[in-house]
Amino acid sequence: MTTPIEIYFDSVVDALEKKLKDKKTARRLLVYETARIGRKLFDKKYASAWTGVFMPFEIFQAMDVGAVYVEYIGAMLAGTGQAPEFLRKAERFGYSPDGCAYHRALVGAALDSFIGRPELLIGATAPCDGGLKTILNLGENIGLETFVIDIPYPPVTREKTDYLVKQFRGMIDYITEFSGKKYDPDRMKESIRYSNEATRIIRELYELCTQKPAPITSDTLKNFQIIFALLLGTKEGVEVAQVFLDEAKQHLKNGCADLPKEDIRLLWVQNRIQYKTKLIDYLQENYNAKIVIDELNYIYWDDMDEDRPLEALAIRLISHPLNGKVGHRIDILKKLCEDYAIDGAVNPSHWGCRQNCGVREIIKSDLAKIGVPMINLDVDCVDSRNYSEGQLLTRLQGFMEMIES
Amino acid sequence: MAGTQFTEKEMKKIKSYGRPAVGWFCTYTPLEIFEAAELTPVRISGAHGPTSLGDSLMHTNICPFIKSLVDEFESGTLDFLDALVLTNGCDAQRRLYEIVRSRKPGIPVFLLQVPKKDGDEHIERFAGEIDELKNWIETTFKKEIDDKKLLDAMDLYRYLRARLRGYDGARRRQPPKVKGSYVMEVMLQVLRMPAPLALKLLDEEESIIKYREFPVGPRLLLYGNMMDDPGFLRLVEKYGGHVMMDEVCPGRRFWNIPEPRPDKPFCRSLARAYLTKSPCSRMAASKTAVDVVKELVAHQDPDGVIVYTLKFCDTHLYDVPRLRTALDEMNVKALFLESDYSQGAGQAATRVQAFIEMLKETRGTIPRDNTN
Ligand code: SF4
Ligand code: SF4
Repeated sequence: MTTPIEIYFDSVVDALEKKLKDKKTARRLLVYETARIGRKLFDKKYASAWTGVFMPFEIFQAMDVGAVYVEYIGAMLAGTGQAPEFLRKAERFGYSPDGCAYHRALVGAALDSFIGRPELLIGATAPCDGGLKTILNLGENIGLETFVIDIPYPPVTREKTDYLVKQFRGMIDYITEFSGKKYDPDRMKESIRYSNEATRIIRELYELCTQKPAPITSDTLKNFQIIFALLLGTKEGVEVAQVFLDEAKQHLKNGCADLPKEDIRLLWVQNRIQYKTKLIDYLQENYNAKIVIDELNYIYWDDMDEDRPLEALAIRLISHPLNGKVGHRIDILKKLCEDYAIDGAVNPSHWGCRQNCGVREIIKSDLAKIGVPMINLDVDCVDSRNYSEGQLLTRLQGFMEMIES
Repeated sequence: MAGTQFTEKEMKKIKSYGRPAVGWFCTYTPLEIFEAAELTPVRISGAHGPTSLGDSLMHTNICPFIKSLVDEFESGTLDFLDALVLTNGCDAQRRLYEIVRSRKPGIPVFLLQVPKKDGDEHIERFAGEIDELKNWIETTFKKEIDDKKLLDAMDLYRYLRARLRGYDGARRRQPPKVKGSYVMEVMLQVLRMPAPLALKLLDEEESIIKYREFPVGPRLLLYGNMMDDPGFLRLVEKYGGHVMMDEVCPGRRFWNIPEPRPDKPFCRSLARAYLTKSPCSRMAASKTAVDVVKELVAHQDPDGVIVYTLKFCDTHLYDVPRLRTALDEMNVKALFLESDYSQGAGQAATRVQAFIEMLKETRGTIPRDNTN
């Protein structure tokens, strides 16, 4: 049976294919390529997997596993305005409205057979409890064996890396057992090579954004790296990265004359709001304030050793800024503030995200110490049902006036 | 009676044990290490009152137990602790660690990373963590924990847990020798004293319960997370219910641990025992928390189940739909309560009363003796 999401991915791919022929823009290409990954979920050539957000996606590419993380689907449903319907569905089924709506939207969609059924379910213990519980519950609900990666906290040690590598091997066995897909070391090397190539380009792109003005709009890199994770290890990923870089270079060449003015440089903390709001336009139009960097747009790892791919991926997962204690996350936020000459930070404090909300005051006070004010908004980034734009705009207004003064 | 808040009297009592006091609360904390270093384990908990600083220093949507602890720290009530051992039990606990570190830099605090799985490599990894905890305690308290001390401590806790199991079983006699609320009160004391003293307390309790008998109303299984409010159990009793078994953190989840094998390295034996114990809903182990409830229901045949979850507790709340389905399929009546820790037991009074009345009508009281 064709599920609505399959039709959705098909239509996105078809529509963008045409548009890309007219004009190749970076955002178009990103959406197009990620929709093609989504389509792999229904393509017999690939095994299909729903996963957590912190995953070694390069392994999936090397094994022909079409994998998307559940929060991607949650965000997509919010972006297309369908989330509320599925959130209600999940709540009727007994899911608390206080949990993370990325997960609840996905669960509602799964209950509604909107998104079909994967062959594999792979979760991880980071970044949050909710993500893992979602994978485990889906497994129970649809009667599918799950695989869980237990990610130890930084700092990276030999012992922790070995521990994770062992689990990757277990995951590879699980994939083979349940989908028949085999691990091929040469393809794994190739996947790491593409991943390194893409991240090198992205590093350069981010570096350009440290310039004043940054050669992007507030939305150019919206959700960028978190979506791009799906393309890590693919040739297409390298192309997408390159087009983003080329666009930025083009803007710089024109002196950013075709971009909105930039007087205030903002850092966005953690996730963007996934449904349509006026906030970003409001900031731009009233204060010439631009988001020049998102916290999650940061390549925090070095080039990976293609001869030791699993080890390199283990190191990358352990050292993710949202994994473990908050200290190294704050160090990175401070570095971003300095590198990008940030005037202020916006943390949407997504309702239901305990790991972020639990430390928002600590982050705020640590950034204040380096002279960067941060505003904590109270908003659900996926569930638009209680969204109150007026209130948020008033708060942002006060914040921006404080920055300006 | 042990309150859940630290009164002056209680703090004095803890100090009178003459050992450094180390705060803890997650049941994956291997207290054997504390005992081997002659420390007093002090299960910390909140005040079952409104929180304020917890809400502003974290966020309203954080587990009320954790926010309540933040308030306790901020008010200085917990300053008497010499150290703190927290775990990565959940996101809220992980973030409590950060708050304590930033607000109470004077209290040494260790964050124990407990894997969520129970396979060999996870046991090995947890053994490494326990070993690190041991080293940290040795350095912090300038004590040496040798194998002999650790083995003795393991013995002691094995015995204490067996005794707690026996004491707990007394509420499943027919008629019950002890009420559920008493068991919780005793547990809360046991979790705040050195094991040798806890054994003495159990001796005293057992000598008393020999002569006691209580009438039995609907027999209930209480399932939950940080359920440490004997007031709630008293409420159940007031309406004629009897909590004949619990699966909560300061209860069965604490004492239901397989005996650690006396094999070296002992940290690995402890890791194996703790990771394979009755799992809470944080775990992604071979057995799930929902499986535990199903087993308990099948084995104990309660008249009803109360599922008591704290608000904003993702690990438990995400299990609620599955629990509902499982209990429905087993044809067991269940009351689901999502509680705000801060408001105490009274909040649920009407629903508890109605639930027990309904059980009385539909099933009546059936005498059974099941002490396991
Ligand atoms: S927003 Fe927070 S709770 Fe939701 S998936 Fe992301 S890290 Fe997890
Ligand atoms: S009740 Fe839940 S959220 Fe609160 S400390 Fe326990 S596991 Fe964490």
